[in-house]
Amino acid sequence: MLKINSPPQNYLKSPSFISKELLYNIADDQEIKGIIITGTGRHFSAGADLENLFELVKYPDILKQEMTAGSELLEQISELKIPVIAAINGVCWGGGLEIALSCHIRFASAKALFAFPEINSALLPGLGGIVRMVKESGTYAAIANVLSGEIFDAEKALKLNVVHQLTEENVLEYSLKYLNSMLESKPKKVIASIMQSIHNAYKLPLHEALHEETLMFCELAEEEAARRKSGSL
Amino acid sequence: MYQSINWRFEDNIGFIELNSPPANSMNKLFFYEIRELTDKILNDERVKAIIISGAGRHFSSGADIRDLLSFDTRVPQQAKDFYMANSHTFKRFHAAKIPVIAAIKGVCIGSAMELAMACHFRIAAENIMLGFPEASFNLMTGCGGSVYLSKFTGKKTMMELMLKGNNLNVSEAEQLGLIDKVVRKDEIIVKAVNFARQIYDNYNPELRNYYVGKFLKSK
Repeated sequence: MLKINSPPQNYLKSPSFISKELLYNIADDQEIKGIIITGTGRHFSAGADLENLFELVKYPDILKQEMTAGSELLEQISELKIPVIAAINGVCWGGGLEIALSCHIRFASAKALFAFPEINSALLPGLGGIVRMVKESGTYAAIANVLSGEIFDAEKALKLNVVHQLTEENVLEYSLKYLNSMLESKPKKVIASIMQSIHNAYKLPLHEALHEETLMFCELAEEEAARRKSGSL
Repeated sequence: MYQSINWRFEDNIGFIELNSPPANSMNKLFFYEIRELTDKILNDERVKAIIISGAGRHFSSGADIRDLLSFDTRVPQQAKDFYMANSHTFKRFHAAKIPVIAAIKGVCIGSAMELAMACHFRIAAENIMLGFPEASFNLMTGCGGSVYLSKFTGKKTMMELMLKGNNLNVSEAEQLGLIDKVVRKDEIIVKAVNFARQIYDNYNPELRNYYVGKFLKSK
């Protein structure tokens, strides 16, 4: 479980809320079969720490570097070979919303609030949030929300496919239960292969995605055949 | 003639009926036979449409896992070639220039769902059950299931089907767009034939949505 941890608002001090290397290590850990991203306390995240950001503007090269790294980090999250769930409570704004949108599955408490407030500071969501919102909600909704900066509630987020499900329960517990029932006792390699085939299906040309899927199936089949032969099932 | 398939050609339409009672599971023989049949019929200009269905109560319970995993592990290349060829066979239906219609009743899971999803159209009875149970056997789809399914749905639903192993009933499948038309189970073949006749002349695979809207969703 990853917690965005700078309460109360969980402002993002840097565009990268976790290092790439750490994320890779987590994803490679044989014991870790899924990730939940949530916020410490009442809120998911109110987005970028603007003071920090404007400080960085003095060093344009570093700003560019940091923003690029943050954007790549979210891309890395969306391509992880284990399921990633955003458990959204309270405020989920700006960079926080961009993090949430990079997760495969998004659950929110019924009281969660969403926005891309960047426009209020004459900025735009710079970590891929626009691209992802266009994909999930369509061009019109993306334009409307990015240009207005308006706060929208959980109901509307559900309608826009920004979140997949609302819950009255504690959203973290809800996400945990969901993930457990999905993964149960499945071997990590099975999970990783299926996740990879899902990513491929959207990303690769048809014949390549088909080829990769069969190759991964072959590996699992060989292992399963060996397991059955040795009777260790 | 084939043992695991009933093949019939009648009035321009080729009928492929999976026939390994009770649930038409797909064993090695089936995959060899369907490959051979595909070679024959997709190069035959008289065949203007193909309808795939299952004999008896079910479409198919998918691959016979015990049979498929019974290869000699010392020659995995042979197994790999076999699986690759199976995926290729399903892809040939997908890429066919003539309409390929799945007529589904009862159970249609695993590789059977892969075959159905590779088809251009799916007409189903109300009693169908769709799903990918592979993960519960420590396996995954290997004949394009993930690829064909991704045209219809997002990652969350993909994960629930492929990873969690959720099954879909007919209304859930129809809502996702996986099923184009629901009919009474004794009417599936007749409806599939009528539909095939309406679209097989000058068939254009790019117009899938138009055909579904005009001929399947109307009335």
